[in-house]
Amino acid sequence: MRKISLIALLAVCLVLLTAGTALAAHGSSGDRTGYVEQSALGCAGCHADSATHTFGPHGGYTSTSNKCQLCHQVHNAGSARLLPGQTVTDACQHCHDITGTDSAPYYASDLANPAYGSDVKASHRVFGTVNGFVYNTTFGSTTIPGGDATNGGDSTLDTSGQGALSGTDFTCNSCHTPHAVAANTVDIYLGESHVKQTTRNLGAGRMKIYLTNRILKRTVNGVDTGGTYGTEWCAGCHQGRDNMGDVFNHPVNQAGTGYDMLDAALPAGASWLNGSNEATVVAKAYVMIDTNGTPGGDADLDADPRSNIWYAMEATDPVNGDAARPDGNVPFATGSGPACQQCHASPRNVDAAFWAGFDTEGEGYPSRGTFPHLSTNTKLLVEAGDDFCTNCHNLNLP
Amino acid sequence: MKGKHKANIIIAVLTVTLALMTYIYISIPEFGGGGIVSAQKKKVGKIEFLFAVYGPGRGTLPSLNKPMSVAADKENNIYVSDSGNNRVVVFNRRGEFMFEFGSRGVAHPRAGEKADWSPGKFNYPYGIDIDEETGNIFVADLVNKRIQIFDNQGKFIDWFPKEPYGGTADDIFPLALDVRDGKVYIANPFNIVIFNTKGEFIKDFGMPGDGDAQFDRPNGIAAGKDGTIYVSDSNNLRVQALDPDGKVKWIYGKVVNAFDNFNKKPQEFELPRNIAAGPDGNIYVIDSFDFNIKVLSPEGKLLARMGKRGVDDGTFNFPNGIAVTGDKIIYVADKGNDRVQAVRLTDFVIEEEEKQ
Repeated sequence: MRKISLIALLAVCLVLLTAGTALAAHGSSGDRTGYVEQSALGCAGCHADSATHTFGPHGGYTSTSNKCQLCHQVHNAGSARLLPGQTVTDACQHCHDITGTDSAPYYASDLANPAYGSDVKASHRVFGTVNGFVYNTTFGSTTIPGGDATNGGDSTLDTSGQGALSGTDFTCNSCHTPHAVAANTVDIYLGESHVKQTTRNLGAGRMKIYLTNRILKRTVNGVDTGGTYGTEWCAGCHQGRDNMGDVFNHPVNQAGTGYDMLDAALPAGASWLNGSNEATVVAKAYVMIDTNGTPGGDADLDADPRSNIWYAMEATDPVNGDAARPDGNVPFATGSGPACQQCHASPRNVDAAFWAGFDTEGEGYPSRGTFPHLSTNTKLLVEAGDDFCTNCHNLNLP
Repeated sequence: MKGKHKANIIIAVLTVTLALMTYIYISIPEFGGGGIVSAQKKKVGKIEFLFAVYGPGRGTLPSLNKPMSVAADKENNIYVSDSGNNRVVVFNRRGEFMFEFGSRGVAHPRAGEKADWSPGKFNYPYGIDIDEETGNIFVADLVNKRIQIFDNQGKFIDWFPKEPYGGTADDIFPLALDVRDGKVYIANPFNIVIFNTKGEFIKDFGMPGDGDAQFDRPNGIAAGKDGTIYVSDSNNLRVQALDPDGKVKWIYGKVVNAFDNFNKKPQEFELPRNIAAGPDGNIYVIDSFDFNIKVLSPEGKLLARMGKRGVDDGTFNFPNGIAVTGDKIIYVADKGNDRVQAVRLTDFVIEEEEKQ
């Protein structure tokens, strides 16, 4: 009898083991088929508004472009969304698997990045399968650190606005919307990655810098963040990090944008690009830079595209008292502070950023475009330790 | 008591049956959902479909998962870099499963986690090729930043580079590789590195960019009989042919700025990925976003553009890998369909692009 029981037990274990493998890909909650949402929303759920304001494969669909088919397959697709994957992240990973680009590696937290090595200390981890492994037990957590506005503690992500394929997990779709429909995305903003600039076929001193909204959703965590990428966008989830709430936090400029640090002030001796007198977001695909004495007629003379390189700083170097830095001498808004993105961004050498010229390949430039997917610094901070604090805080203060 | 005894026997029989069924399910290809799924020859235009393999059809991973690259040996055996499953799967020339090796192992873990790589483990294996002289299998273990060498039975031999390799960078991030005449040609994201088959560094060249001999994530590399190095310069949407010193001989395809011109047709390439040098001297390129095979002459002239998107036999869905045997059978790693197809081009045709 004991033997029989043992055999039965082993058989059951064997079956469970096999079933575990089979069910692993469907281990998370929510409707992964998309049929439910598709039925409820109909075609308009995705195709209600053709106005898009980005380019590349996501957006800019015209009668002569061929972009839809790159993600969607009309027949025999992997899901009701006609996508190549069963989940949102599977679909994204189909292209964004670091063999073709590392500019938006959705699972960069798991894969060594050729630019960074593998020393990843912080990341936004999304639900998904990586190299055949399902990480839904540790990834895709809906816990938002500092998400509770009342006490600064954790909160739970509102996933109601996500596509059905996301289920109830934190996915790429929690922050990005692949179709870039204008009404659903933030405004385009000044990018920070060198991959979006080109000097190809341009004369000396000329450069195109492309602008994109990174298909970021306007509404995140159920909060309409106002359509601008900046502090409020981050605070859509991390509501407990707001200094004007019930919790003591480092001041942040609530209206601060994540891309326009220069505002209208520039230290003496520094010059604006293109003869502009302010850093401006322009609603166009790219900004044409022309630093020649006589700029070409196609130069955007009303916009200085430099952004997110500089910090709100004191008039002199806070560490050594050097003269005003060439950039970034911007007074804080009253009762306010820097934007989230001034402290949280892709790692770089801030000091080098201040003293370097307009060098998007330099060590001071946030050129790798991985923020906020991953960072080799903790807490997704731009620098670590006191080197970070002393960018703004004077060591000679009492 | 007698009734109880009977019940016990019934339970025992049922249990053994269940265990047997489970064993059969995971061990026998025909019951496991993999193996040769389609071997009915057919023609799709001038493409002759021979067969497709979807996986070993046995074990806990009976099916392929994102097969990114494929290689062939002198016997036309098929070696698949089953990237999503972190393994290599080998089939014979008829598509019958032979053996597999590899599992997931991380050499460069996240902070706070331990490395668990050991010889024979992979973290996203990608490029694969066979040394014709020895039959050894070379695998580009992409995220572990190394090339692993196995004998023709899948037994681990060695890996390289174990330390800064002596070129312009410290390490490699090998996307594609090709082995020919004692050399291992490796396509890194922005340059080309050449080792000998013992893993000793020979030279490297190239840099990021879209000029001559500059690269943007080349996902294919193949050496010709005369030493010409053909590089599928993927994100620059072109193929570059270079001499052994890295000097450009010709370029087919044009760089287009994706922000302005993404996927606007006609273009020479939509997204060229793996590349193979055929026994006829021609260059076979997989265009992943155009869902077809393109054939270039050794001088860089387009000879054929064949194939279309689909899930049926003889059609492709984001194909990524290609290998050409000595008798010009083409193996395609049909990534989006999680299979490898064996096809033959009965003629070279420049097919009209389909209206989308």
